[in-house]
Amino acid sequence: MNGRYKLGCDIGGTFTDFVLVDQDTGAMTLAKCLTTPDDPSRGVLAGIDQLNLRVPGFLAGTEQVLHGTTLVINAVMQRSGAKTGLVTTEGFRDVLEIGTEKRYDAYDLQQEYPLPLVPRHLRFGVRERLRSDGKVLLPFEPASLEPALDAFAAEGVASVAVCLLHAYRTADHERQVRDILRRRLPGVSVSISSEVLPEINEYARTSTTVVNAYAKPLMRDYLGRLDEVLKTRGFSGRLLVMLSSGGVTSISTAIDYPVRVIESGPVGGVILGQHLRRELDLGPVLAFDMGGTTAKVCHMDSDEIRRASIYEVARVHRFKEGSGIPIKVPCIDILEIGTGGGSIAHVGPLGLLEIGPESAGAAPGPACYGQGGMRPTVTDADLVLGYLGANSFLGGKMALDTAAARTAIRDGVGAPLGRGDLAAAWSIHDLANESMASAARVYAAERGVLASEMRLIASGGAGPVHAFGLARKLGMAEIVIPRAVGVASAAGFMVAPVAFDLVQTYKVRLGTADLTAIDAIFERLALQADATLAEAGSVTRRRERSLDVRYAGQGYDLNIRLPDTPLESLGHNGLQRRFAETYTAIYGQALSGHDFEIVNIRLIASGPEPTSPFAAFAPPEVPRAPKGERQAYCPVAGAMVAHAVWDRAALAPGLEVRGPALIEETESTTVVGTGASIACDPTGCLRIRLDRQDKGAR
Amino acid sequence: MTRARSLEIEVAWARIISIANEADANVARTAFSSIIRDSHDYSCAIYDANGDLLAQPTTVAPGHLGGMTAAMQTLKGYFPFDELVEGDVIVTNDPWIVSGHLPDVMVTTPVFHRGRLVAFAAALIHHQDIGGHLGTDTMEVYEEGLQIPPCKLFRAGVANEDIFRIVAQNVRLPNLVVSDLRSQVASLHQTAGRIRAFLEETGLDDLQEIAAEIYDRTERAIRQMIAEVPQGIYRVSRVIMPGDDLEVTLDLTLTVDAAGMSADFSGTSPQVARGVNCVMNYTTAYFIFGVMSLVAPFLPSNAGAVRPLRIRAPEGSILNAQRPAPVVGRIAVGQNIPELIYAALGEVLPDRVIAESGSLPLWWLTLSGRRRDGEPFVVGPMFSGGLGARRRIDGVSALTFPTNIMNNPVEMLETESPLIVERRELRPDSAGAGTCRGGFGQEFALRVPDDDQAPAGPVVSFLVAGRTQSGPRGIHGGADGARASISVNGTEVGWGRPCHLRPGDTIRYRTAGGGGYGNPRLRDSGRIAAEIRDGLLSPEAARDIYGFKPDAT
Repeated sequence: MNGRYKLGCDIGGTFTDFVLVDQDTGAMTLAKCLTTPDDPSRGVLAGIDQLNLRVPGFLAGTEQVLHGTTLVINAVMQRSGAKTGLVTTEGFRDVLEIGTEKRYDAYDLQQEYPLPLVPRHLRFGVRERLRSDGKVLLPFEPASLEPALDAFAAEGVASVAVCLLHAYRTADHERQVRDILRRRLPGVSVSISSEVLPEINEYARTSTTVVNAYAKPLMRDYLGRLDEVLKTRGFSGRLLVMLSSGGVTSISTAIDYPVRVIESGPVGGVILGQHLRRELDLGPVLAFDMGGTTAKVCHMDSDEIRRASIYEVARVHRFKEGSGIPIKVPCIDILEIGTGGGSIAHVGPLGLLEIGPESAGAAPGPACYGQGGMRPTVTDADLVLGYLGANSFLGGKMALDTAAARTAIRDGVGAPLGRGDLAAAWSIHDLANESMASAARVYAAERGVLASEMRLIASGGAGPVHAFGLARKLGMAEIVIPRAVGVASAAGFMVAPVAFDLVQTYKVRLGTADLTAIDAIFERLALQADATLAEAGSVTRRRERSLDVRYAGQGYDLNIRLPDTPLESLGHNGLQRRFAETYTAIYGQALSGHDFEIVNIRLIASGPEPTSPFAAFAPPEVPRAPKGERQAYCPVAGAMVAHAVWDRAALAPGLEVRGPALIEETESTTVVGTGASIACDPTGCLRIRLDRQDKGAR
Repeated sequence: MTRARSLEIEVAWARIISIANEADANVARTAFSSIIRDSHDYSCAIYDANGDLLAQPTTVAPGHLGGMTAAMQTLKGYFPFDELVEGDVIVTNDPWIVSGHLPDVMVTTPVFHRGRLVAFAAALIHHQDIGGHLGTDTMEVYEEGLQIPPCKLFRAGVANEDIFRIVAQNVRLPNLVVSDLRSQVASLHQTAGRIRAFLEETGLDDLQEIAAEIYDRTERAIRQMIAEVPQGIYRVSRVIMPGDDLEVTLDLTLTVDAAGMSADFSGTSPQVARGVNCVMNYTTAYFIFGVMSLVAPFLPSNAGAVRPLRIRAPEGSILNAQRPAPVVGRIAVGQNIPELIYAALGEVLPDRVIAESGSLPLWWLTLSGRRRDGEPFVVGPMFSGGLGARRRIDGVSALTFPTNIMNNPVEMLETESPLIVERRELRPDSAGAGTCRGGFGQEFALRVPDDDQAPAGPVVSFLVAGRTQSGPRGIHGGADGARASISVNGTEVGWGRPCHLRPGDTIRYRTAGGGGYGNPRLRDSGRIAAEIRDGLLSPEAARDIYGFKPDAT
């Protein structure tokens, strides 16, 4: 396939974003459409039509469409997935409902939990039993599946999850159950835990397999339809789907494992950040994305992106860990913070200002949107402070109502706290920055890194508005604002490699481990990964092999990277040394006299890194001068002062501008305060260098 | 407070809470044992220069926090604060000074800024082992493990290795416990550094002005919330059984007046020669938890919050036990205190109280034995009963309360022992009926294999439990939840003493369901029908208790 174009398309909660790159010239064409939740492919086609007006006939010459979607997360949140049944080992059908038994709030007596995705009358136990070593204690008795078959048929179940105890060791019983389900209930899709997540811990595995089953019919219909529609419009390239782990994959893999496509949007932004980190040699960075309802941060300091494996969706309490449905899939280690442009500012029980966690969302939205929102939001404060232009929001397509914002702030914050409008607005802006900075500090502490040593890469509609304040609080020296900042996710898809992660639980003491057996499992995983990559038209270029290891008896594992040589050649002593070194590096100490235990075998295979489509940047021909001036709040002066307003396109390489300044582009505004310089680098990124901070600067 | 006022107080406050959360993250990251990482059985806190509680992380255990807060005042008597120097670290696990049993070890360090004492960083960990006898059949605290009186673990930054050696010699898992103790101390230093950096950046001299402001605001807020509770004297008496043959009376007189809320536990049974006694600090901690959860669940629990609260329990009673009373299983008694408060205020705060919970007290189970090849195993499965019903919301099934720890996967338990779990399922008909029902309890059944994986010798089940004599009470017309029970091969057995299991034996632990709230006859029939369909409610119970007629839906 040697098409000229690549198209990135990210379906978000409110907008569907598009980036079309001409690989011959490096030219980027951006588009934004409203998301159409009932059938997201309509929004995608609307965007393609928009792009077609500007780049006629591009679709026929497009090599890849890289696609990210919130379909799965929305299905779980809105309970709009398939009617799903669950088959478990007899005696364990309530594992899904019992969960971890932990409360997400220690003091709140009125707390509630999400209902299980599969109600109890569609959860069935079957007679079979494996031991923890995978040996059969009780063979599967097919007759015990009959009640489930009858109920699933009678109830019109469209998808079934199968999760049997210890199936991560031996998939045999689950496969037998699957085969019967397929034969007796044709058309019903089946997800088995030994394929979705062959990892120890029955609750996380059941929950993950159930989410997979719940979303599978939707994903199959949606991607099938999208692929077909693209083809009828002349597209003959490959449709690829973004995974939460940071790689892209084929549609057939996405249909088999929809749970791995759980949230692609923020992942795109991180991949873009990682790409820039490498291309621009930025060292350690903190990717920061701030949109309407949340902000996200992710730290990166090497070519490997740190992965986490537990994720939670559909929280009853938006930002309370433990109040949602857990899924355990490989995903990029992103921190989500409950501060976005729509976060509502209010006075809390201590008579102090608080921001969020309530959000005005897209409807009614901030007061300044004029859609009926009455409560003050962060965006309202940004407008009153002059950081946003009432007439330049979204390139002037949406006029903002400053008077409404001012009234909301006065009523909700200023009057109760006895602060003037400006002071109230500034405290909202500043506290929003502090909440994000606080969360970022804890995130950094948990990973043993220092925020002050990182560069900040800001994206999202509100990211560039708050980046300066955030960087100041974190003591950072530089901010990077990428091109296409408002559609960073879709841009990130362009630079993501084809990749797939596999895991296999294999619990064994290091001292007695059969290393050739582990090598054989790595071989098998590698073959499986190669096949998945080939499915997406790629070949394996890189394999990251690792083991989850812990001290025997300890409840917490550490992921340890392995060299490419067979374990057999490292030997038990070599491995022991490697484990101890990693422990020391992270915990500052290793335990003497304790045996290590291997828990999981992991392999990530990825294809070649795509060549950068952004490399060529031709600065547009526009006058190198500010387009005007606007009064905006300066915290140093404690008053509104004149800020030069620049069109981002006017900041060509070679020109350096001092803050205070406001740099506007269609999707966002970059706010730069006093004590910083701004320049455009040769690749088109804005680089904001902060002067060394004086004490007490806020 | 000129400087602190000009600096927006909310930003400073957000920052201080963030420092407490960082401290919490640091312990989790550097500690070794799973009790810390997975169950989160530890707590961090920041105290001001007077030793008053300033801030704690979002995740904190009530028993720990109350214990440390009381300890800070007691420690002044041992080490006058003006004699402390930078790098000093104080350690103690004295149950009467800290949180009521020996595994809870507290460390604290003074934080100096420009030569002045500005704060204390403190951390308490429930250590994996502290030596001593395992079980509540103890007569005196001396049997329960190593006692560490308040002493300096570090003097001006130099470790007192003697203490580390004494600890190592006295515990079953010396490497683990000493490593955890060292990471506990390391986290204090990181917290101290963050506090100094904060003061440096903001140009503040100390935290006292911010602290005073926060305490005053919190006190004002909690007084307002207490003022919403009708004034009066509320009395409640409960008989609990913290052992098969042990009856204990807990009496509470709760006075709500203009001064605030005060609890008097006069009339409560005397301390006993069994390891279930509570020290005053622990009683206080659960009293504060009970009040906060009921009256002000969204307020920070700092020094200002407790100003309007008073508590008294007779010396020598089971809620104010004196040395050398045994205390290891204090949960079996102390965790009942929040429910006494809910019962006392049930009539006047009907929207806030919850019915009694089947998960209270926490069931603490240890199963130990030897595999066929002689290798020892110890596992501690956790399973909760149902939460009590609320006025408008059903109780949650199988949920910890009032402690907050996580269960462990069956697959892990079977990997770490030869035992086979036969069942982990909700108990039908266990929830107390009501307009809102209680949460369902669960059944956890274990079999000792008798095939080629049979263990060598007996498996010892040691359990601290509760609610086996009568189920959690319902309120406002709601029915009681089903009582808990333990049976071996179908025969009911008691708890508190070790129980020996042989190959082929099956032991079933059934936890209690939560009590119901309101008249069952007023329950929504759609919900009743759904529970029948889900197999959680028998048609007979639906008919007899709820008056449910199937065709009425």
